[in-house]
Parts: sequence; structure tokens; C-alpha cells
Amino acid sequence: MNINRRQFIKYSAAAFAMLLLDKGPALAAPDQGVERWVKGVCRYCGTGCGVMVGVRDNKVVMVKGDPNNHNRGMLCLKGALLPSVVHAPDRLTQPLIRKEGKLTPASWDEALDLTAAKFKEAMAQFGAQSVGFYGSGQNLTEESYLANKIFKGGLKCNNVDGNPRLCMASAVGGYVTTFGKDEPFGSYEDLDAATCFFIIGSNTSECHPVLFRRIAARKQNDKNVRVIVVDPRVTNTARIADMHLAIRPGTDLALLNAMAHIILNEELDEPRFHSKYAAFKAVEDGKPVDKTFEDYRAFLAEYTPEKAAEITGIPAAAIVKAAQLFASSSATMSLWCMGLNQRVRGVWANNLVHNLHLLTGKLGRPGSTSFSLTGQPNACGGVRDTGSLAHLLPAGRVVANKDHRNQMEALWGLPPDSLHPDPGLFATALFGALGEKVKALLVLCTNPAQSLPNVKKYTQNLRHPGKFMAVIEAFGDAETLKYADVVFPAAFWCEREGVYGCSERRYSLLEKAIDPPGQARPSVNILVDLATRMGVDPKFVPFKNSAEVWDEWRTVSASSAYNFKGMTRERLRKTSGLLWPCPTEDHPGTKIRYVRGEDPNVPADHPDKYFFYGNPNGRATIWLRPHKPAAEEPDAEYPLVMTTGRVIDQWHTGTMTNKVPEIRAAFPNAYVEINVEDAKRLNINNGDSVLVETRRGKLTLPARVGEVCRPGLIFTPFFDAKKLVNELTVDAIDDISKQPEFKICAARIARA
Amino acid sequence: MTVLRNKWILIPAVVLVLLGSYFLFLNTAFTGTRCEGARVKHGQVPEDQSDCYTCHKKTTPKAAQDWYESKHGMILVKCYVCHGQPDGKGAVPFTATPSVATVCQRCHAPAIDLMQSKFGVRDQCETCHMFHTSSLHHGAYGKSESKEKFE
Amino acid sequence: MAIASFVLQMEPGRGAEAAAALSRVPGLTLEFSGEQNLVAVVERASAELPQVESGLKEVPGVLCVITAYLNIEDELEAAGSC
Ligand code: SF4
Repeated sequence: MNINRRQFIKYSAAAFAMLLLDKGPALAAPDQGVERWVKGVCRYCGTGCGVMVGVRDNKVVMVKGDPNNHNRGMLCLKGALLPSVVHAPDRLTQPLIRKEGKLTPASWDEALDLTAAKFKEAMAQFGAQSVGFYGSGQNLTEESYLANKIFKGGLKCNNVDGNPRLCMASAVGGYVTTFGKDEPFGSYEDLDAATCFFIIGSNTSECHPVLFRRIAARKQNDKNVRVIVVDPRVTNTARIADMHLAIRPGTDLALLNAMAHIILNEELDEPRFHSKYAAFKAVEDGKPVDKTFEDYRAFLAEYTPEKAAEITGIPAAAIVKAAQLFASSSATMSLWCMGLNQRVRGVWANNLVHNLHLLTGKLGRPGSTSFSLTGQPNACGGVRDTGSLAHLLPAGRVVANKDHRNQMEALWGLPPDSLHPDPGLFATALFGALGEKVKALLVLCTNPAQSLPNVKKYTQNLRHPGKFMAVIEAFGDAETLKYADVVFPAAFWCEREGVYGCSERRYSLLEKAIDPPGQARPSVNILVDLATRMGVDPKFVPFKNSAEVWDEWRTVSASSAYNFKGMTRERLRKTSGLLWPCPTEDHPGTKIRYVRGEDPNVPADHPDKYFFYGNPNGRATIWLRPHKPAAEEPDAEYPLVMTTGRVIDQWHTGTMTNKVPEIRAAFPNAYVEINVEDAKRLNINNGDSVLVETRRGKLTLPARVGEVCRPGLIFTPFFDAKKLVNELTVDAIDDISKQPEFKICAARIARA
Repeated sequence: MTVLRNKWILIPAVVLVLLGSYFLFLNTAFTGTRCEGARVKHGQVPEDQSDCYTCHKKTTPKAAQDWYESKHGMILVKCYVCHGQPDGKGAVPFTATPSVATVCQRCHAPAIDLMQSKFGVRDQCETCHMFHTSSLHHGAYGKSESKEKFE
Repeated sequence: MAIASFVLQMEPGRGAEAAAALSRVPGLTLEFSGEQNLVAVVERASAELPQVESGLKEVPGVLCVITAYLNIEDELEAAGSC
């Protein structure tokens, strides 16, 4: 037969097209034999998408989006691929005890008794402050609340902290200092009403993909919607941006102050709002002092667009344009995440975003809000709201306040003045003291050996012979297990029941879909068991399951502005999440806070529309916060700025996402992203091995050369356990929130 | 032709074998004119380029570009989420046309229910809503114009 | 030149009308026509394919168009192997 390539291709083109014809009715095909669908929440990010878990034979075979939750059935890549994680081969199925340097299987009793003995020994010898708990924004709310109660109330030890210190603490500081109470003003529904999005320090598209989809859909539906993205990298988020401001890292405060300057200068502010609802303040000699609007205007005078342009590297005209867009749109929504939080001035940066909203009155109406995005699925509900950080007590109370302590003592049935009056050690301080001041530590569901900044420094503590560390964990390959003395196998995700609270104050119930593997147990039961063996009164922790913990926590919340007493277990089972405050069982939940008629904490007959009940003066605060650079700026020796972050495929330290075969195959390795200009100068090509060095360590990573990073900036993701990027990051902290500055450190690179 | 038309009786394995041998043939029979990317085979990709898109930009530029410009590309629903991975060891079946029941349904169950109640059971979502060319921006190439014109 | 094949879904009963219109498209051969579907193979410069595709959608009687196969090999001619 005489046939040439072209004819062959044509024939095959036709044949291929015909293959596509007359398909069988694929829609009618079974859903992998799913026997029942169980409602839950995605295990990964702070978006908190509702999922339906498809179960067959006590196995998770499929996951689909929950159509009734805020995500309306949508999931991102990670959420859609969740089933592989649950049945991963390296799940832990029995307790382990380190014997002669090796983790060896043990019985539950052995492991629990050993841990309890070590804790008791430490407390007897060195006092209650020699033990600690390090939790996570991935624990169930019940687990965090319970651990907090056990340690602060039962053992009288305030060393209760968690990874939200690395991720959310500055947002908490920002909300509390500005509005008086933690947690966002609005809800995700604002995304559908905003006409201007101001996204700063957030790669929403990769870190909160389902919310990004909602923003993109909003923009598609309304041509007048404007998106401003402030990010030193041209991320995927910037693809929908009308303006991308490639800011020099660490200069966000100058930009935000300059925007405020322009807003005042162009008379785009809303005096009716800020004269009535805002108070001006500054910190002088360590004390907050009252200021006036005129003081504020004078303070801003130096932040001219030209000066800001010099500092930030963004053209002055672009800053002016951004400020104008922000202030003149009908509804502006700001979104930010780690870019602002993981900074030595993280709280300030948060304050300055709120300032813009207070100045322009863009708050409390649909689409107008300042909204902080959370990284973890239950950092908001689980850790912030339950007060599971070293300086906090449940529902917005603080350890240092005697009234707050007394309230908690009453609620927990403890004698007055029995709680320890001093805040405990925060994350980096806790690990820095491990082996020395802190002898025994319980870690629940997080991987600090990979996620702490400047991690080499803290692995020294983790190796300290004088320390004892017990870890409750689901996966056997987590980096932290290398240093654990006892490991308890935990029931994972939908293997037990509990509540997750996402970025928008929404609490949703994860129902139990399957049994945990082997001897793994729900963490609530492990905690209760440990507590009683450590000598905590069993009547203080009378919980058989998480539902009982929830009922107590729900009742405790009723005495605060967090009030979600109306969210009974029964109700959570029926709905796909409710937003607090939700004081009664017939209350629908609250979309907008601090607004009369919306927020049940504002009396219905309050004379003003807005009421910032968290602040004594009833007003929100506009802070005068000057520009301050990062802790470690680039210099001649280390001329580049290194920043770290996430990629969409992987989540945090990759212990879960790396169990997904598709992700492991497609995105297994960390890399370093370099701008073409820098690469050319240093003679680096795409794919070359590059030595990345900071003052704390060095790593060899493959190069990705492109236009994503601005010149002078390099980026590395931190998910890869083979390349501990956090050995390079700096552990300088924000002195208000104690959150480390993961996002900025000085680095140099060379071809390896 | 009638045999081909009735191909739904062929089991998918046969289709795969045919496809496989087709590409094998195309690669070996006309060595002079094969395109650059065709030399890289699934499973032999250098580690730092394992993302499907990196290679498919070169080997199937239209499909890759369509995806990149589509809603799925915009929100980073990457190739392997729907098409699985070539070594067949993943949880998602490796296929060119993802199954509605196991893939599309994960996110689009509400839309599928709606469409079914409106139009009855159709064979594939893709027949009318082209996965790759459904664009985010108005007026972009490939937006389902046909529907607007004919209804 | 590039080669692409398209599956065209027809409005019921308008197949013949569409087939007639399609036969006038340069570079297009109809490889198959059924009650509901047509298969067309097009050989054109790759840059023109997007227009061809959107053109197909406007042919009377066509409901929707799927690109089934695409081979962009502009070197086909240059290499002389055709
Ligand atoms: S956006 Fe976050 S919560 Fe939603 S599916 Fe993706 S990872 Fe899960």
C-alpha cells in the first residue's frame, strides 16, 4: 500500500474522531460503587470547602464538593484528590516508643503510661511550666479546646501554643487591635458583591483556589470589577489582575500608608464614617495614646506617592491609581494572607489594611470588608476561637487579664485565681526552651521539625537528651517523628467526628465516615486518657467523645461575643456549616459583624448603625504605624531576598499531599524560582542546580528561571522534606504577635 | 464505517492498545518528521519537568494552550486531576476523556443534576461544554458560541 | 500545514443541509456522516485552524463542535515527505 505520512495522519484523525462518537451513557455510570455519602470538610486549607465523602466497604473511594456549603460543590485539585491520603500505606496503626534510638511498637497502655510518667516527673521536679503542648490549626475544635483546658485549667500550665502562631497570629493581632475582637468582619458572600478586590500578600489562586475561582467568576460576571494584586511575584493570581504591583518585599507598610495619604489627599475618604466610628491612636513609649484626624493627616504627610515609589519600587502613578480604585469603587474587599502576616511588622501591616477600610467606610456592607485568609482548615475555629495559644483563653480572653482568668475559672469550675497568671511560651520560644526550661512536650497533628523557621536551631532542642516529646500523628513519615520519644497513632480526618471552623467564621461538622486503621484512636480520647493518667481530675475532663466536648465549648462560648450556643450538634449535622455569632437554635448565623440588625451582639435599638463592642469606646481604631523594613534586608554579602510559600499541588509540609500518587508524580520536588535578569547575570539556566545560601544554611535546588519573581527576589516552596527550606529562613518575630518573618530573608545564589 | 460506528462495543482496552500502537507507529515510521516533544515518552521525563504541562506545551500545543486559557487552566485544575497519570498507578484513571461519574462529578455534581433534569441524560459533558476551550474571559476563542447562536 | 479532525453534532434532521454547506469549506473532507454526527478532517495552515473551528460552529444545522485530533506540523511540507 502506498501511503505517506500525511495521508496516514488524515486517516488517523478521522478514525480518532469516530472513536469519540456514540459513547455509552457515561452519566449513568455508577460512582465507583459509593454506598453512602457522608458530609465533611476538606482536610487542607483555610478555605474550608464542604465535601461529601463517598464510602464503600469502610473505605473512602471518592470525594465530591458539598453543594450546600459555601463552595457550592466546587473543590480544588487537592480536595478532589483527597481519598488517596486516607488509605496511604504509611499510616500509623499502633503506638510507638523510642527504644535504643528506634521507634518500636508498643501497647497503648505502655505508651500512655510512659508519657504520663514523664510529664508528671517533669512537673514534680521543675514545676507546671516545665511541660507544654504544641497544637495545630488542623486539629478539630474539640481537640484544641480540650488540650487547652487540660493544660491551662488542669495542669495550670500556659505553655499551650500551636502552628497558628506561625501563620495567623498577626491577623489576630490586627483584628483585635483595630476592631477589638478577633476574626473577620464579613464573610465569603462579600466575594460575590465586591466591585474591587485588593489582594495583598496572598497567592489566592494557589493557596485558596476555590475562593480564587469565586473571585474570577465575579470578575467574569461583571466587567466593572477590578482586581489589584500586590505581590513581589507575578503569581497565577495576577492572571486576573487589572493591576499587579510588584512590590519590593518588606515595604508593604509604606505602600499602605501612601495609599491612605492619597485617599485623604484626593478627598476620597468617608468622613461620615471615620469621624463617627473610628478613633485614631499611636503607640508612644510603649503605650497607646489618642490621636486626632489632623495628627493622622500630618503623620501621613511624608508618605507621598513619590517617596513610596522609592521605597516600594512601584511607580508612583500605579500607587495613586490603586488608591483611587480602592476608594472610589462601590464595594472594596481586601484579602491577605501570609504575605502580611509572616512579617516582623505583621500586626502593623494588618492594621494598615483595616485603616484603608475605616477611612473610606468600606466596611459592613455587602462586598465591603477587610478579610484575612487563613492557611489551615481549623486555625480560626479551632485555635483562635478556643484561645489555644500561649497568651489566650477561650473566646477572645487573654491570660494576662485577671477578669478573664476569673471568668474561665468560674466556667471551668475551678477555684478563683487558680489559673496561672502569666502567658506561656509561644511557638519558637517553646521549642527554643525544649530540653532546658521545658522538659516534656506533647505535639498534636503538626510537623514542627519541618515548619519552624530557622529550623536547624530548633532541631538542636528536639535532639536534646533532656527533653521528652510525645507526638499524636497519623502519618509515619512526618519529619517530626525523627525526634519523637512516643508516637500515638491518630484517627485521621473523616475517621472521627468533629468541627472545623474556616476563614469566614463558619463552623461545619466533619462526620465520621469510616473507622480508623489498626489501633489508631481519635485524639479526643487520647487526650482524655493522657490527662487522667497525668493526674487531672476525671471530672474535669468527663468526655467520652468529641460531641460532649463540643457541648461544653458551645456553652462556654455563650458568655462571650463569640456566642454560638445555637450551633447544636444536631443542627450542624443537618446544615453545611453556620457562621457565628449564632446565639440561639433558631438564629441563622451572622454574615456581617458589628452592624445593627446583622450582629446579635449589637442591640437592636442601638442608636448607631455600627458598634465596635470589642473596644471600650465603641469605635474601631485607625493606627498610626510608621514604615519599618524587614528584619534581614539584603546587603552586599547576601544581595537577594528569599521568600517561601506554597504551590497549589502540595500542602504545608507535604505529609498528606505526597500520599497522592498524582501529586507525587507531578510535583515531588522543591525548586528555586529566579528572575531571568538575575539568572543571566549569574549564568544560571533553567534546570541548573543552584546553591542557595543564607546566614543560616545552604541548600541545592533546581532552578526555575522566569519572570515570576521580581529581579532581586528568589522563591522556594517549603513542602519538600528532602530539602528543608526552613533551614534557611529567619526566625525574627513580630514583637506583638510573635509570628516569625518566614517571608523575607537575605540570600545569595550560585550555580552549584 | 459501520464497524467503526458501532465501536462502543469495543472495550476501552482495545482503544488504548490501538492508540498506543498508533503513536508507536507514528514515532517509528516517519522518523524524519516527528516533532521534538515526541521523543520524550511518558514515564521517562526528567524529574524537574514532570508537570504534564511542561512537555505538553511542546507536544500538544493546542490542547495545552486551550487548557491554559480555559477556566480550568485559570484556576489550576491541572491535567492529572482529570486525566490521571500515565503510569496508571494513580487514583484517577488515565484517559483522554474523563468519566463524568468519577471525575466531573467531584466538582460539578450540582450542575450535572441540573443539566440532567433539563435535558435528560446525555453522553458526555464535553459534547457541549468543551473542557479546554471554556474560557474565563468574554469573547475569548472557543467560548460556546454555537449555543448562543442557535437558541 | 496542520491536520485536524472535528466531530460536529447536528440538529436532528438537518444533517444533509449541513453536509452540503461543509463541502464548500476549502481543505475539508467529510469522512463520515451519521444521523446526529459528522466527522470532518481539515488540512489547513495551523494559524487558520481557530477560524475554521469557529466557522464550523456557524454552519447552519451544527449544534456544537469538538476538536478531536490535532496535528500541528508545519514542517510537513518543508520536509518533503508528503
Ligand atoms: S480550596 Fe482548600 S478547602 Fe477547598 S478543596 Fe481546595 S484545599 Fe480543600
